[in-house]
Amino acid sequence: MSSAVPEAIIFIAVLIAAGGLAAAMTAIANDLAGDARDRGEQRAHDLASDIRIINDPADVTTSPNLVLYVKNTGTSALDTGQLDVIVNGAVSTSLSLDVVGSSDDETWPAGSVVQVTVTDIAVGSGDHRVQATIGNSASDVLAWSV
Amino acid sequence: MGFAVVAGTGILMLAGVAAFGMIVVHQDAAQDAIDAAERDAERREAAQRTGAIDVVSNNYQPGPDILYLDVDNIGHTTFATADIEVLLDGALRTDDVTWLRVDGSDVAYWAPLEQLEIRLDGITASPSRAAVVTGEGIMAFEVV
Repeated sequence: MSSAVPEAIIFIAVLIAAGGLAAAMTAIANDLAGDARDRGEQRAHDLASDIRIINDPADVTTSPNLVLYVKNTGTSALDTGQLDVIVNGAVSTSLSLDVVGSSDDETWPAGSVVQVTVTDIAVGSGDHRVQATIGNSASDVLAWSV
Repeated sequence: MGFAVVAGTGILMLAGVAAFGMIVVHQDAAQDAIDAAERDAERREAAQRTGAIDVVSNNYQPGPDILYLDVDNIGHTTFATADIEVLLDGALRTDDVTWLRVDGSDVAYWAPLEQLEIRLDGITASPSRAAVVTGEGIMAFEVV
């Protein structure tokens, strides 16, 4: 009886320690699994993202503002808030975005077109180059002359 | 003491197997998603590489304000008609498209060697240029 009590205490202590280690191990594994899933989803989203500037290069509207038409040619919906436009090397900080045919101008479904109006960079006569980029996943370039 | 060690080791082994399984299952699912996306991206790039269209004729009717565009699929890609965009004089006019017919039929897909007829209504003045764009971003231009 006297030796059974310490053994029971040791047994319980070992079980508690093992349980704690097991819980920590599964928590770490859960984090690693979540990271793997997130990285996979992000990579898959990047691969599914594709955009094209579909303006007619012989007839690009530049007055009073530059107007671009950017089509989501990928297979996943995009977030228009991630769209960046660089005009002749200058990043536009004032874009007006309209998802054509939709009342939601933030979600950019696959196959649809966003009308982008650049309100802070003037485009005069000469040669021009504009780049549209969505996040880190896709971009397209349009070069034209006025 | 011995039994306690065996029980503790058992718990740790079970937890290890469960943790390893959890990581493998999620890693596998993530890799499957990446593989599927890579296949889609390869198909899309191939479609863009081998696709080509040509606007072969146009007919503007000033009375009823109708413009017809006939576009040939001269590449090796089948396009979805629902994804077609039309620009007139640089402005997007897809909303004015009232029909898209492939070799006379109202169908969803436009195969190689077939002709797409596009009708736009409400075109009040004859445009100078027309551009047709597929869902893959392949473009063709026409002087009207």
